[in-house]
Amino acid sequence: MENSIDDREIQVIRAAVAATPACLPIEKLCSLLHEPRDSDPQLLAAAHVAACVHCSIELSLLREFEFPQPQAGEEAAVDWIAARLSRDVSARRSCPQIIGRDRDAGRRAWWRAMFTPRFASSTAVAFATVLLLISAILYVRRPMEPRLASSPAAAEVQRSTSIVALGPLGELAQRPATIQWRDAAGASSYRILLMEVDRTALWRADASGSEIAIPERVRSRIVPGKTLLWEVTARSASGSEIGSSGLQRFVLKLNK
Amino acid sequence: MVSKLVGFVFAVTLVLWADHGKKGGGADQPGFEVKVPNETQPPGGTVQVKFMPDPTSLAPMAGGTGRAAFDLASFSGIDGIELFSGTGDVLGAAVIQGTQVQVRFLSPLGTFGTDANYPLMTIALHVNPKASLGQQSILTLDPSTQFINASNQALPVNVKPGTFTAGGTVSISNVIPGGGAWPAGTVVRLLGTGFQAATSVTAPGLSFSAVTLQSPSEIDLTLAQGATLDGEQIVVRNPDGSEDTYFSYLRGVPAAKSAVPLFAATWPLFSTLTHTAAALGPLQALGPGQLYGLGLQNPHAHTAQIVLTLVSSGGASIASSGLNLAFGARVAGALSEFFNGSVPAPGTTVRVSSSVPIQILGLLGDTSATTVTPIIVGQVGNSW
Repeated sequence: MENSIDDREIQVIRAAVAATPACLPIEKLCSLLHEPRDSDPQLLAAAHVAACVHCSIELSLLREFEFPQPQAGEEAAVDWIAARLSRDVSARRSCPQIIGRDRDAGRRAWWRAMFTPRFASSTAVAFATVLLLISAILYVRRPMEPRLASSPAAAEVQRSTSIVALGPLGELAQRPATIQWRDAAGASSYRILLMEVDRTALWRADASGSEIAIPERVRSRIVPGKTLLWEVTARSASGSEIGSSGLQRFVLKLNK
Repeated sequence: MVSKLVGFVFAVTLVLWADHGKKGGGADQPGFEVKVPNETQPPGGTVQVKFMPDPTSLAPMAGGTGRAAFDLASFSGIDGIELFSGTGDVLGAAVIQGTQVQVRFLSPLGTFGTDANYPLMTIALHVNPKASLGQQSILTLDPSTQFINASNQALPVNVKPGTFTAGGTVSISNVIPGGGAWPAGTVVRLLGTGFQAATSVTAPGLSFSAVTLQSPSEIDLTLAQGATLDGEQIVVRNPDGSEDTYFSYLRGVPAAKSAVPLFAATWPLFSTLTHTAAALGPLQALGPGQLYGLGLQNPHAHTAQIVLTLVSSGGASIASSGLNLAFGARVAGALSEFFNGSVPAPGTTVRVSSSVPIQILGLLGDTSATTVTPIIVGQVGNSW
């Protein structure tokens, strides 16, 4: 076994990850994300994705984009970007059916008038958009400590199914013993994740019902004044994610 | 109006650019940063070398290759190897020769490299019983190790090495069952060396209703509530301060040895995702020295009754064979070994069905290069 850098070695894996002529176009991946897999074309497409690294990753990234879960500390940046990027830019990276939902948005978007040819050439608009993107990327990538989200649960996040979180929520007098939520239609199991405010995982577990006990060892890490986040995701019998509670927040009251 | 807007944005860009350059953000550094914690275990024990991602490097990785070689004076062999990711989608193949290992892996969901709580990879090394106390050895990866990001770009892996020191009194060698979902009441066997009545066991993600010392080499843990054991961190500590940390996984026991030396030396690294029906193929025409293989592992409590069927491109069944795999058993071999010596022709597909969910992995071996590449099997009834 040689110890020198072997480019051919990594090329093998790059080839395994690369797209092939059989790979699915973005429209097909979108339909897998939004439409039931009950027809032959859908099942064939799903079978291809299951065996294709490139399409699996594309679908995974698309799912992340379509059903985003903003991290604590990212929300200000997300809002900043969302308020400035033109709808045309986001349209290129979204599924057609999602864009269709906002077809009347033009009436509301007063600022779009600024970008019409009457006011500016398309070159200037493109230049401004590129600069905005660069600014946004630089802003997001600036090293900074994680910031506590003021209300993660209130974030506007589109999800396939929303799970109602019952508790623990908000400021608590006692350490919670359980995490509770409402059953989601079609869910056969749930995955629970308890996190620090910077989303470092403290504990994860699976449950079949709508409640799970927090182990004593994990409870001991819930200390006064320390905000924690949790999220429940629902899974279908086939194991696919069908819904989420979004990020929930609680904190044990400080002793006085 | 637009010129003002462009000017404003340009100014903001320049300010942010300069600010970013001053702070020298880690994200600008090329490569993926990995840290190896120091380890201290006694001669005759086991050390689980952990390759931890640096939190500043976290990013989705689609795959990669890696090599490592360990000092024979300190280690007498490799007992196990595993890849970790938050969703368990990562799969691979490791070719092990003595204390050297070469790994190729894929992460179809791109979750490898995104979770700072898990090691990227662990390698369990048997500490040489003849190692002298205080003897040290470097724990690192070969500089040729590279990851592939979600954009299919190769990234070098920069490793901050750890140091192994022969010493201490306690070590964990294996956890059985180390993976899979198990109900409350399940007895988890913690195997190792140097366990005492006063040895403490902690596992942040697990709760136990009983912790029983069976012998100096086994502690039994009874789960107080159901848990998925893959990737759970378990720490043992003796009163003298000696301690060991272990990330659990299902370390399959070979049920048979491949007659093909390359596959006999191959450790299939399974995704935690399981299937009752899957397909490998259609198989491609291979070059000289190349051959297809298959890896199967049963993480289920019940014995898996497995049927392999070779299907032509037209859908006709050409050949079939069956095998049983008990819990925790695995096999890895050339496809021809599963079909009584017949080498499947290009265009055919191998279908696998099992009575209980099992882990399935395709392999592409190259005997001239001594490499094995993992292949994802197409699955039925699971959606990635």
